[in-house]
Amino acid sequence: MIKVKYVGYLASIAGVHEEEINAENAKIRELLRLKGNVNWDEVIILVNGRPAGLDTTVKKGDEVTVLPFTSGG
Amino acid sequence: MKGWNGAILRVDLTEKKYSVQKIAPEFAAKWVGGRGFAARIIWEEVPAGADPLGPHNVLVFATGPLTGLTVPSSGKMVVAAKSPLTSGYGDGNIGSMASVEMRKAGYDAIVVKGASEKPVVLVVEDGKVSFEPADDLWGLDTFTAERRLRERYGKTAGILLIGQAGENLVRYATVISQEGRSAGRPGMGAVMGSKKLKAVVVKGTGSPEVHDPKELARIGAEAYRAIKESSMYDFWMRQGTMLTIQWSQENSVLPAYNFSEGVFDEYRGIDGYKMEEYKIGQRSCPLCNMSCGNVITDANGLESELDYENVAMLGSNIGLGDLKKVAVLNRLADMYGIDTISLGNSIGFAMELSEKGVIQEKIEWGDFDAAKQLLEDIVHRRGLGELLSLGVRRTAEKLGGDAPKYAVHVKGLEVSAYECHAAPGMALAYATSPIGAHHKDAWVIAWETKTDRLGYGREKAEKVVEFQRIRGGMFESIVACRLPWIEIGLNLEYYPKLFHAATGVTMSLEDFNAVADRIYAQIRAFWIREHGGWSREMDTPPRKWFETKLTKGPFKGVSLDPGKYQRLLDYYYEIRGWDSRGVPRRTTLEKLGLADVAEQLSKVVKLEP
Repeated sequence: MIKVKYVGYLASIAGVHEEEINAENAKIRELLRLKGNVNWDEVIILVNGRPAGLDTTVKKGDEVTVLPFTSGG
Repeated sequence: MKGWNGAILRVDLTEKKYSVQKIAPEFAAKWVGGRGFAARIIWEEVPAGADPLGPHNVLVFATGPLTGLTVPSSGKMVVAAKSPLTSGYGDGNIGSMASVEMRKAGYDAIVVKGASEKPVVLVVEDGKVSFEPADDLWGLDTFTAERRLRERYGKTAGILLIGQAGENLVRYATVISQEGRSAGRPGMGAVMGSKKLKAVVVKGTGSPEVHDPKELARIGAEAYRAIKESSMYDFWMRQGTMLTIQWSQENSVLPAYNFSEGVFDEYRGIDGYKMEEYKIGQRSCPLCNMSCGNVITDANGLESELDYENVAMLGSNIGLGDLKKVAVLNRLADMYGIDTISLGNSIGFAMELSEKGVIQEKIEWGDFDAAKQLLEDIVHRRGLGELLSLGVRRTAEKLGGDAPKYAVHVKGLEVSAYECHAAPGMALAYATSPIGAHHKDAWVIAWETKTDRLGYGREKAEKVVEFQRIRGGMFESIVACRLPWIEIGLNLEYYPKLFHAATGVTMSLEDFNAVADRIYAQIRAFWIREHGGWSREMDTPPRKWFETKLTKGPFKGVSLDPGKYQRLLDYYYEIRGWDSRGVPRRTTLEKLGLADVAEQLSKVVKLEP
């Protein structure tokens, strides 16, 4: 399983805070519920807490986190 | 002159006199307002080496040409003085009716000198200025005192005031307004207290004349609409900056245990979703349509207004994972008028000193009762609190031994709520912030997360300067809140347009950058004059980020690299046109129209060409 977490308003757009997806290997873009409805320049993608991109390949057991770019005061 | 009122109210508290000074158009164009006005006035009028808590310090309340106009989040002003915490330049911004009323009363700034013998309230009603006794208010918390003042001066009066922390000269006392707005982390409240100035009350009946009222209304309305139509708006209105607890946790930058870790196991107990469970209301500054103040009922059944910084610093940073208890500490800090960031940092510091056996007191991580007691002791300067009321740098110096290892500050200002063992760019932002370690000038962590997170490349220094120009320069001088841009994505191009409609002066974003560089060089010159020179150590992050490693989270084992950091600092100096000591070069000062500053500064340090 690959866990995908959506943070902030991205969770509202995705309609889910987190989910587990049954996949062995996949590119992140294939796993996300966010498609053309977000500006990818304003989205941060992490794999296991480390910076990644839409085309990063993830494997079973990985955790993908998708966060808004703007925040923090 | 349009946009600006063109007037500064000058107040002498020793003599109980006042006068109105006209602002020359060249001065306004050169410094714009807010921080620009403050930096220049403080440079010109605070004698070198002046006691920040003495009558020679100058306290500046400065608005900008957009303040109080019907444009997004413009109810702001800058409060500035020589800092009793850092002994350098200090300022902070605040959203308050006082900003709007100051502009309606016909002033762009109020500059306060001298010191009153007895507690006093400065009351400004258009052209009428009076000094009212404040003996009955002295000793009261900010909530109670403000309610009394409101009964006297009306619901819509602009009120800025201090609590017991400011009266007691706690070095990180702040100026408070509207029961929760706070300004001036580097001890601006203590400066007010040293002048026996309990409160400033401002009321006005006029309005600043603007260049093109129709155009200003049109662009202002469009910008307000753009904010509400942003895809980020709805979620922002739910959580505001409280979203950042989870954000920082995921990115491993949430300060935990006195900046020892970037993740906190109990973060769900204090995050934005937990806040939503308790939320009973929302507050905002004047003229804002994206309220950031989220109000909950605290563990004592009283209202407390939360945001990310105070929850992270009084929560995870002291190991406390219960939001209702965090809210108690936050409310008390606002009532006493003490900075929640430096307070959380100081309490965390004491807890770590206790854990390491540097002090005998037993103060355990997450111990709410001990933290509350320490807060009271700091405000009233008792026992260990007396020492901690000086800030972590001075406390560490006095304790000696290993204590300085655990003091998390830059230039004497405690670090705000971003953990930087694994964020070199954000560490540089803290290290070069012109007031000491604060995030308001350059919040590069989101950008850093998207790029080479652990890198030390030149682009990180470039990004810090870019953000400092926009955030620390333009927003702090026009004066409006940066959050519509950084949180909701409002296009920056709105601001030059709004500025033109207000003032008739055409300035591009590049022109604002030049003003920002001038302000930065001016502030740096003040620091150098106060310190009789400069060294790179002053622009270096806390030693803890170099000497210890994270033990948890995705960046476990990571710390800052001292050699690489020095290279990053070199890039920063180079971009700014400062020499390898961090001193602005003569040519840089001259190019920025600061030949007079170069002249004065050359008496303190040798200026490189």
